[in-house]
Amino acid sequence: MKLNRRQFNALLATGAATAIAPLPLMGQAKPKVVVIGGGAGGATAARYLAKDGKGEIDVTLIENSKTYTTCFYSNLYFGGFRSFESITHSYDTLASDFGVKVVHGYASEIDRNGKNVKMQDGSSIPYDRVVVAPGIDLQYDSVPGYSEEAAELAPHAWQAGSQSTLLKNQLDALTDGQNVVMVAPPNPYRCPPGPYERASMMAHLIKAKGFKNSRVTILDVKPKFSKQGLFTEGWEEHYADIIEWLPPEIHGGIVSVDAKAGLVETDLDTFEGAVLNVIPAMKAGAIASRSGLTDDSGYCPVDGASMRSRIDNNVFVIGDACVAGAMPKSGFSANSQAKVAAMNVRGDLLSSKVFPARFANTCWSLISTDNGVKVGAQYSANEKGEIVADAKFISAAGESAELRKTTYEESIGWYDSITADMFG
Amino acid sequence: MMKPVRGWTEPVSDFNDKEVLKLLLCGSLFLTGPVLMASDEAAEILAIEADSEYGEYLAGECSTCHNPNASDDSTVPKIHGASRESIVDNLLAYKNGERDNTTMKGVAEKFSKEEIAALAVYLASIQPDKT
Repeated sequence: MKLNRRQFNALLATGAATAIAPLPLMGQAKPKVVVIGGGAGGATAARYLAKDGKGEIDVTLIENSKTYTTCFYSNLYFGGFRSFESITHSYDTLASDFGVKVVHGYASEIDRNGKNVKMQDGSSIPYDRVVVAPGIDLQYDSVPGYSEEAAELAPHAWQAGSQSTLLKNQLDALTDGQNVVMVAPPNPYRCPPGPYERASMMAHLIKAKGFKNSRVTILDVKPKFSKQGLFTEGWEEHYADIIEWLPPEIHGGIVSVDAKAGLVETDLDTFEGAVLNVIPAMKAGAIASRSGLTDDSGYCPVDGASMRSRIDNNVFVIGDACVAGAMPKSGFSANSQAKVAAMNVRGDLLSSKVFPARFANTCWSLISTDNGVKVGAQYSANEKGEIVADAKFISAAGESAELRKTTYEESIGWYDSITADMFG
Repeated sequence: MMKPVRGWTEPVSDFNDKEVLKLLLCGSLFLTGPVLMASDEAAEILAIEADSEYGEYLAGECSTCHNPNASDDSTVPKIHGASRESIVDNLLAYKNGERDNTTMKGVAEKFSKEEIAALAVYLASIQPDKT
């Protein structure tokens, strides 16, 4: 390489500056990345930043919980196909094998001017780049009569953990003749096929107990839902006398929920359930709006080419909290977006290569024993930075039992892999 | 519009020698074509000077379902550490519709030859353990 005089002088200046820089300043050279939220998005981002950063990035992961129970596959726990332990994971390997600093605490707000994350305990953690992955918060008041307190009686179980065990215990205590009433959420929400897979798992449990007089009623606020044809077909085959799906044009709207009495009043009728599973509307995790990263939709606009916030260049938002165009809010999507964000963060901080963003998602649902279905797509960002689907696929109605079994088994392999991809 | 080809409506006896030879060649290509093309395509991809760093990024998409440390009886096969040839052959089989897993078909259809080459070089270089 031949240098001209200007380049030579510039090089000389850099060298001189480094030589005279005080030692503590040189010690600060390692760039800092803080990841907020240790779910499918955040844990994956932290792991890829640490792994691919090869020790050159200081990675801190902030997560309130000591362990993480995946919301994906928690429906299989309700159906009796998985144990709670099998869907609960530790952050230990991220710390021990990948050198991620795992901070268990609640991040209240991002001071974007000062570039640090303010913790509830008063401490703050500085960053050069921050990856925001808080998942969803529930809008309890979107369902009249429902609240965070009411959720202790009528669980949403849409954030896995204690809510999941609460719902599971209620389902296990069900006796013949007692009913389950679910209030399904409006779009957009985490895991589009989730409520319907859950209804399938509840019905499976009722059938497995040999109950003849228990029902699962879904009071939906939407006129249609994800994989509707496949679920409807499966319900007719397996749960014809158990599952009843009522769209808004039939029930006329949810008037109020009385968690204590176990009642959901609609325009049409009042439904009584020994188990009420109320899934309200959702929005991005609270820290996103507190830090001014959301738009009118309640979610965070991002450039799909990088997952960088459209509001702040030092911020990346991934997973359920962001507006990801055609991608559904799912663990798979969050994991996929995390890798694009991690690559771009490394590009910013280490000048490493940045390739065009590509994303993928598949949502598997279990309808009954060995009867799995899936829907998915490949995605990329268009010139406006919107994420668009390139190739879509969905299970077909009337597939062979063998193919359905293969699809379910594939989901088991995926679960093991994505959780290894998140937690190491 | 395609130009009408000589021979579609005329008796073969009217063809000259050169035309008959051409037709015979076309026939033999038609019979052996798909096989030849598949291996040709694989060979072409294997000859590409691939970017392993790009492959590493692309492989991030694979790890969501294919655990690099999966056990041998995993329901989603292990691909990390597989040979370049087998990765190329399998991706081409999905891309060309010879294998029918809808997820993998969607994945493979999107890959260019360069991308398959990059992936194969990277995946084949992995020693499955902690990656």
